[in-house]
Amino acid sequence: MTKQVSFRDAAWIVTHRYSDFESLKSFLEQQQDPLRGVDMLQQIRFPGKSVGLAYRQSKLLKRIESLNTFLYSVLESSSSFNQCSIDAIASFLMVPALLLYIITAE
Amino acid sequence: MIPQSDELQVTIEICTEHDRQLRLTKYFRRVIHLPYKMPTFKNCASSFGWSFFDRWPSEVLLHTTAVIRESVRIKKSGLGHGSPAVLQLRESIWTSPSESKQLQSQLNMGLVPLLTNTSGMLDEAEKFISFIIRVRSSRQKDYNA
Repeated sequence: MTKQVSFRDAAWIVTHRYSDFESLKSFLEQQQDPLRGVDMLQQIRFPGKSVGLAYRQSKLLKRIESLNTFLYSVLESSSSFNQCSIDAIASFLMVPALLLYIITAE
Repeated sequence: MIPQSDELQVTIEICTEHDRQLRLTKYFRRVIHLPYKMPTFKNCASSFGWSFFDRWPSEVLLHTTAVIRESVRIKKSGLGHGSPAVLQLRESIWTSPSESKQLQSQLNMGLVPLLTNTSGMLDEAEKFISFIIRVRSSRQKDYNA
């Protein structure tokens, strides 16, 4: 059975520092099920930390690109994560509770 | 009465004026450790006692996109509700019209405390870089119930 969920376009802004991304990645890694075989997060590229690079524009652009790839990969893989990981990603992205109300009402 | 379990589930059903039934489920988890030992990612669960968190259906992320639009350098001492840096930031964020003005406004209002909290551990003069991420949820989606 296919259920159709409709809601208005919703767009919002969140701000995070590099360390927040690191925390999210670390949390997702802790939540990985060791019995699942392939470690999905190992395949998701995450930019390393380098001292002083944050203020160099070229390096910063590369970091943004890598973090965007990380975000894209995490969302693409979200259906494979456990509940705690999904909660973590939704929290990180600050998904408005309004969307949850609409989805659960359908 | 103190629950024996470490987790409570509270479900509230609301009937709207348009006869629409809403079901809202909240989970409360007992917080007995310091924040860095928290079993969930929620930063708001930083105090002792009971704290709530949302349990999201995985579907909510399937058609969600998140892209870093820009990075901003912020000096902690420059943060504040009336500071030019923050005002400029707030004006530059909402560049496209949205159908949900109220939601947009609420989120925009939350930006200043969000930034302030982010920099809570910094020295007043210290600068940091914050990535501005635009998150979008799609208008419609199908999923297997």
